[in-house]
Amino acid sequence: MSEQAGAIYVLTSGLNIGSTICASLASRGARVAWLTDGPDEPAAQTPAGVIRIGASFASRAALEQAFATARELAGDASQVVLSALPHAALQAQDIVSSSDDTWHAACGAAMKSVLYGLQASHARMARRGGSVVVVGPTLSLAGAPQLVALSTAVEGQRGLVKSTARQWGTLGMRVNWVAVAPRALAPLFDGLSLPVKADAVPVAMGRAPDLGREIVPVIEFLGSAAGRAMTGATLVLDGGEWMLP
Amino acid sequence: MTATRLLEGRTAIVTGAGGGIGRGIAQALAAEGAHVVIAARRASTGNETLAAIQAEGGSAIVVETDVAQRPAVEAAIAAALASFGGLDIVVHNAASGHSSRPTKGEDITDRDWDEQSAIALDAAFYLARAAFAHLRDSGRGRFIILSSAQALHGGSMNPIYASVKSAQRGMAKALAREWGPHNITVNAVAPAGETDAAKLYFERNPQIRAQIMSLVPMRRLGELQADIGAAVVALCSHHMRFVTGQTLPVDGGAYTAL
Repeated sequence: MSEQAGAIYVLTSGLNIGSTICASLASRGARVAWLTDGPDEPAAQTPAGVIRIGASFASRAALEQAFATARELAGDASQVVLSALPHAALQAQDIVSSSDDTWHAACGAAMKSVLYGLQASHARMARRGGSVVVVGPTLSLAGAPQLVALSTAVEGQRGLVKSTARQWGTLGMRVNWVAVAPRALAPLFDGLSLPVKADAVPVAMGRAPDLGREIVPVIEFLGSAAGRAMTGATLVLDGGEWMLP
Repeated sequence: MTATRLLEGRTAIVTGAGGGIGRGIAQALAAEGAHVVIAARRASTGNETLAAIQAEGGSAIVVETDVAQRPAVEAAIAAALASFGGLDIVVHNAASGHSSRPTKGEDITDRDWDEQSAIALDAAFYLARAAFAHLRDSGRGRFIILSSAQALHGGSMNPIYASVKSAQRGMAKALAREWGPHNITVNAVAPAGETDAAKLYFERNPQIRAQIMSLVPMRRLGELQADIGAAVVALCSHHMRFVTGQTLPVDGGAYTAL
């Protein structure tokens, strides 16, 4: 059963990791609003018990409008879960072959989407506190060739998490980063040439964790009373691959 | 006997070389024998760096460069090729003048973000794309980005700065993997240098200086040429040819949590 006092807003831009996260949170008793810029889908594809709200991540004002709708339909949020991974960033390409437009869509837009999500969260949580969890792939920690814009953007998002965690901590806002094994986020990562830890045992658990069953409970923990000591942290949930220094 | 200089005959471009850490790096590279393209936003400050290099017997040219503009970056690299016949080293040091302005995350505007991001990140992209073929042909290419400790510990001063400097780390790691097969190393440096701005701030706030210095194991900030510039020289030299994808703090031990 969810320990959340309020609703959980799940924000996903680009790569759809929201349906799995939302379904898992809802099945654990949370009140969930899913704010997404994904294509409209049949209502049956929205997880049961989840309120789906079409959202634009192109501006702060547009995202704050989506927050207002979520508040009307689901109530105030005690936790925001955010992911911004543009499709343009997920196309493997040498940097010398990348156009200016691709760079800006893959890197700049991804970072600003997280900025807007954090700002919209602050506007709702600055008085009451709350938890923001930004989710990204671990590939940025090691750096991925042919995915330079994505690696750049994701590390930029992580830097933004740390800095805002420092600024907003005394308000009772906690901002954390969850780095997930890429293949646990989406099957498409299986088709990309990602860095792999060179070792006889490259992944301690021998597999990637499961997004719904194993990652979501950690996110929920970060939003619970038990997780209140954590902010500005990077939690690496990759089954024991990179084991950061 | 004359000692061989570490970077004899190589060509380097340094952005933001019209002052501060960029000038220190340009001087250090030139002192070790590199021909230096001083890419400065204003020719007047670039010429001051040029004079300092020439006074020490070094070789350099000035190219007025707004690094946020791709054509300007490409022109600077073209100038390196035209003047010195190749390009071996790129040092992206330029940063926005607003980088050190205290900023609340909730108050960040698109204009603030875009200006600082363009200089830190778009410029790095333009440099990488335009320089790649020349660094590859060099056989000992070096691409170095001046990041910051703020990227490591998530400084509270300015979330834009912490974010773009962290992004530069991600870029260095990914590009190191992409360019490693071409014998190009890519690294980031996180310096704590005693810039003119830092000196002025500390002159006005001596108590803050004492407080900050007490937190630095070596009890001082780095000299721009002798400490920060020398570390960049080391990364460019053959001594560090097997180091890539790293972020090197050059900060007197200020941040040791890696």
